[in-house]
Amino acid sequence: MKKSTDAVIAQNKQNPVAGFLSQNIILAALVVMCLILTICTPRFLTVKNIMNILMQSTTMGMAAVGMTYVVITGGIDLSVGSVLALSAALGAAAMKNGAPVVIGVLIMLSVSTAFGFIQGILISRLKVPAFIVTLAGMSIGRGFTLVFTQGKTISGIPKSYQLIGNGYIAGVIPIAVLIMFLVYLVAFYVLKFTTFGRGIYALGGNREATELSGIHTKRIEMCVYGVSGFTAGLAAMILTARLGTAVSTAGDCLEMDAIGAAVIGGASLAGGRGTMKGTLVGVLILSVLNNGMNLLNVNTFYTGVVRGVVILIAVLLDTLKNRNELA
Amino acid sequence: MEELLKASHISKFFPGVRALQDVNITVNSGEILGLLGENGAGKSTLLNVLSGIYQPDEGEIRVRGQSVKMQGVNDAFELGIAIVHQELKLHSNMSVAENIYMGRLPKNRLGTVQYKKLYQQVEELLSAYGLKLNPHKEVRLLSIAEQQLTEIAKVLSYNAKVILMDEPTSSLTTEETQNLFRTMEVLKKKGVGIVFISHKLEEIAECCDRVQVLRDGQDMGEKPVKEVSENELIRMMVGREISQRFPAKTNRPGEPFLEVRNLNRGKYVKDVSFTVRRGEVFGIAGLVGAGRSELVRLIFGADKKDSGEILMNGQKIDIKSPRDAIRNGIYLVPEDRKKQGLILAQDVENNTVLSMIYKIRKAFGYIDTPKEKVMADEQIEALHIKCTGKEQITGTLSGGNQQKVVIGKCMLTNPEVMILDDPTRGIDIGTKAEIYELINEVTNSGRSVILISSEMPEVIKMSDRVAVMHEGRITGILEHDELTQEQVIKYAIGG
Repeated sequence: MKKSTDAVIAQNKQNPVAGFLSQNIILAALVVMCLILTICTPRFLTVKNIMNILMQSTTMGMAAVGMTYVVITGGIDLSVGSVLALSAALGAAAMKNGAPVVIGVLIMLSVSTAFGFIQGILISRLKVPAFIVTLAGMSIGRGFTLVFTQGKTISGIPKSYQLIGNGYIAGVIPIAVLIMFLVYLVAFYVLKFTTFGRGIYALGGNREATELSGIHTKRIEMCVYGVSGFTAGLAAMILTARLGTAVSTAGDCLEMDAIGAAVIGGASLAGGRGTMKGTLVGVLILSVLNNGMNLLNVNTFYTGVVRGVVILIAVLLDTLKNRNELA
Repeated sequence: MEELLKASHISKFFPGVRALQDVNITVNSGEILGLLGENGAGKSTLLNVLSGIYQPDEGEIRVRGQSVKMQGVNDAFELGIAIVHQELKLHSNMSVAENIYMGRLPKNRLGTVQYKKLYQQVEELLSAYGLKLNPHKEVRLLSIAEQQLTEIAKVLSYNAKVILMDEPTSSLTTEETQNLFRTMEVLKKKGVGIVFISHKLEEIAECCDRVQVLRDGQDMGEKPVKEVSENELIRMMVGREISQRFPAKTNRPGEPFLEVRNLNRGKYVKDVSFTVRRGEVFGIAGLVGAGRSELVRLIFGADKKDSGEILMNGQKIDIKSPRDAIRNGIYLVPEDRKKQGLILAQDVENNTVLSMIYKIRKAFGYIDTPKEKVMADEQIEALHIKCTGKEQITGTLSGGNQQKVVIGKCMLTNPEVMILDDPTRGIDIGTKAEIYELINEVTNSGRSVILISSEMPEVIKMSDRVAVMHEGRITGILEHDELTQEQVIKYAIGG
């Protein structure tokens, strides 16, 4: 077993291009997708369209940050879409009724983070499976949103707030996209260089060994759901600002997109594996795919089919790669 | 005596490594062949070749005189060759009988299982070979020894003539091992040929007829067990003389240090009290299930105690989690390095420093990476961990080196009390000797060691005092000069 890993490493050293490709096969797939779209349609490779893609990826992109943390610990968070809707509705309603923008944003972020933490407590302290807790959370969150909004759209949000979603820096870069990249940068550093990040990987890799090594496993597990709630809140903040309204159906199926992006990026639902870089590429692949199918006028009914197939292929490639390395 | 299986000039190569070279092995009916060798010597590879899991790159395998080419385990099964792996692969929620006939359950015309017939078949099988098993019991309720018997019954139901056993005794108690040997004797009388891998020389001497030694994938020859001494076997295995299996003790136990008072946890640990002195090796002996691991897990805070207290230097210390224990200078090297000791998918560096990450953090929880690398290298060097570097994934290390990584993790925290739960299980003689040396070093520097071992000679030779456990209680604490196997066994069975 050891020898074949060495062999793979040795082989990669001999051929740096092949080595880079096998390590970054998903990134290569993204580049190939972009190349194909550039050839197929002149409307793809324009600054406006690229910014549009990035803009549309922000909601999924934000939720995927927390989701990646959760997935690496071996958990799952199905509640992100509902948490987005609930925090968006509460924050938007506050601003509509005259609360300052800052307060509105704080409400969104604190509601979502608290929601995540409560789920985290149930999962880490009371040992209820994450799938069940967040499935219930998904239902409860969506239910509260409907009760609160009575199914109506909340509009009349201050223009200054909508800048977060519609504003540009230097006239080209959307503020929302900038925020997303900043969040990815922070999330990357935390995951890679801090005790919290190290604990997340350790927990997902082997919970018992991690606990016996004196790591705060419960605290870490609780916190990743808090982080997931927080990033769902960020997604709510940006989405509400982009749309200028909050609707009770916002973030529908967001959890599937976020999990899909993390998994395409190499995260393993069994825990222990995943990176922020991978997830970002996963988010971009899904977004480029949506955009490409729009540009090529593919019947929107096919979108789901294509996304599903892409997720399957990505996981299949990853599985095959690992099998070769470990067999 | 019939020649059941003969493999000649077997070689097997993996990318960049020669796992077996020109190995000859013969299995006769009614004979038990012991296969000895250090970790990585190629014993498991050889069994995998003989059972069709690997195909040899060179050489020939003959079954009852016929040259054969096996493409997988099923081919070997057809030929009457079966392997019982070290890690058992049974369905834990199904009964013994269902496991034995998995995939071949007797069915009626509607396709429903005929349980009556199944249990009847299994009972016949078990009594034919004198296996003591309840066919109705669910496998998850069985002890490891019983699970092993289930696995053996399974291969016998396939009419196996050659049974290959990869370290079957590594997780059995002395008593269970004896039972297994009795079963092997019965099989032998029925004309089955057995290949038996073990690290324990005593076991080879006790149950085998012949012994064959492998070293670095090469065949070091075979001999009748009666004609070979223990020292000779060791020399064949390691290629050098290891004068003593256990180093002489040089530590001088000092004043009392760690005191455990009336520790309780359900039916596992009952009213346990003892004191460990500075610089002492305090052994804990007993049968598997006597509560040894459960006791040290309580001391380490891995499980919650019902009552009792722990004192260090006369001061009561509050241990609610492993983290508390580590902070107080207690460290547990757990019994199962793969499940409890290591994150197998991560590298040597991450594993070694795992317990230290809160100590080397800077502002915002940043880990001091340069310091971390130095610490990992230190331990690799100090413990002679054989790896390609601190970036090697621990799952790809040999068992002995994996154990060293766990010990390195322990040493980095510089504990006052080091708890070793069966630290040498399934480890080759060379690494064992290194671990014994380390225990001596630790106690010579005035720190204490609590040692659990399933090998009786080890716990007797290495410990200054031994507490013997039986059904959760300490039935006796023996001083070094009254330590004999007989005494320990007497207390272990409740005497």
